[in-house]
Amino acid sequence: MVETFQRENNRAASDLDFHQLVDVEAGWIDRRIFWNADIYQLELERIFARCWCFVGHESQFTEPGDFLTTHIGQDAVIVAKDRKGEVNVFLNSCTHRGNRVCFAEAGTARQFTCNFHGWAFGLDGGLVSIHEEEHYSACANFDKSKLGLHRARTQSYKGLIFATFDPEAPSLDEYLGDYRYYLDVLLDNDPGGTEFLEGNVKSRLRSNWKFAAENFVGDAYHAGWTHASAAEAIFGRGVKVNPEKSFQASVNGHGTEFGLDLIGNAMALGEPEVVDYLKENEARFAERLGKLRAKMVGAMSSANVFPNLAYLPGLNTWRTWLPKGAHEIELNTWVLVNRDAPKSLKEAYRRGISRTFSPTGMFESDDGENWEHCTHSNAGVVTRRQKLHYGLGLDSAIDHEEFPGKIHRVQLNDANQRAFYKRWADLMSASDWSSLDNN
Amino acid sequence: MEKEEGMVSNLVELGEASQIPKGEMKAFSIDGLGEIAVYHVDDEWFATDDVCSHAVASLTEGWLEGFTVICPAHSGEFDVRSGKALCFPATEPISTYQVWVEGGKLLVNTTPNKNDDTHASSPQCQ
Repeated sequence: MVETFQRENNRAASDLDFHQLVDVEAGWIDRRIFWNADIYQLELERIFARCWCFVGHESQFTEPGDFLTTHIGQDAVIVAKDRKGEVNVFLNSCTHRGNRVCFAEAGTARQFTCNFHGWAFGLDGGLVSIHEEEHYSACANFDKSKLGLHRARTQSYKGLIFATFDPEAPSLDEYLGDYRYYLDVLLDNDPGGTEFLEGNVKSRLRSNWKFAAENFVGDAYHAGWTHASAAEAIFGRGVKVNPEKSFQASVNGHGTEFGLDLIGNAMALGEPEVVDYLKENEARFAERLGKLRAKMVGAMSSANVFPNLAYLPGLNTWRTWLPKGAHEIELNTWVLVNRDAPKSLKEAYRRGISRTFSPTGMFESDDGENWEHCTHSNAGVVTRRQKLHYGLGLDSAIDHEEFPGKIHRVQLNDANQRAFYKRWADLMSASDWSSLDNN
Repeated sequence: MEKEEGMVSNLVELGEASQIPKGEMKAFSIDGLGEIAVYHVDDEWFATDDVCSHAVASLTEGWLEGFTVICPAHSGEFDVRSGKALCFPATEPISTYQVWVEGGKLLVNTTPNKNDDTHASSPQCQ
């Protein structure tokens, strides 16, 4: 039996040695990180209230007043475009009694007015007016300029909008670092840029958020087994990894595992028009991305931007794993396409993703059940004492002449998962950003 | 709107009509009266008080949607044609004024219109 290296005890979560819980050098992980409610609360503080979290795509905000609601960790936020064209992110909680000020998922608004006492907030979160304002005229600590909805810092990268509540966090460019090279595979293969197709699908999974994130950051290994029947149904054959031409790359906990096959994942959509588009446009992609990187568009691959934005470069599905407690996530998914792509191609992506990576999709339903059981098996106290093996590919690091970041050969590997958990442990341990290394 | 005879003493010129494109509105300060809001809706011109009847706020800092002006403070709504309050929390009407264009100039009669029907209807949001 595998011995437990850190027995459960009554210490506060903040006193835990997270680099011992997540032993990336030896490749073992303590299961409590997927179950313990105190650890989860510390994640909300030290991961989600600190990191740059994805909140939307610029294409979702065309006119002033366009807004959507989402969460950063479990903090409900409004993302809204103001009359100056700026996109603002602020808490969806009135500064008076804390009531939610917006109940819609998305729409166009002039302002956000609280149902309780009529406090009204502008598209930048500022307090515009309140009901019976004259009664506050003698109220010494009533200062409208200081009673706006708490704002997050907001920055964009090639259409993706991120926000952070941490004033000390590095810039988004620094946070993403060299991972931008890999984001560009989808975000910058066409001069017209990208857009989200209208609408998104929300679903709930009884999974710890990290099982979803680690699956996308590096788990090519599961595909040939978990998805064997679905792949057989769509391709007529199973999933095979090319050991010579496949890799894992990680930067600052962000990561992607990928082949260089152009159409490996795209074929899974079951939409011939998508495969034809990729083949016909490979040379165009190469003009922007270089020959090697152009082969990543559509390739057999998956990716996760730390902490909880994930996507499949071959399938164009983008998603967030919004934590709803230690054992549950709300999965939000969108379809990303090149803005200038033909309408029929956009519809082909939408159809293909509905078929594969929607709540009833052939692949997504395969994954969700596994993550749920990976999470809930840890209800057992003895089970929870048994650490999990993350040792695949410990000796697979390589230097690559083109690919930035930490590179490992063969996408069938635990290297990116270890890098994800190292970043997790670094953040969980660090008191502030200045004590964190970017790597 | 037709110009009425005998109101010349209350006539104020507000400058070029072209300063307010269709679908937009603008506030003008009138000596002895305060702020008047002028609206350009399709090919018609309307004018009301600029201050909301609910709380102190400038309607022209809000939104003009068709014939409806929406207060930026509490989202009260008024019909710019009649001054009628359309939506909670606005319940009292605002004054309206005759406004017209003559030789490219915007002219307003600063004597309020007599709007008999402005109290009659029940408020409703659009």
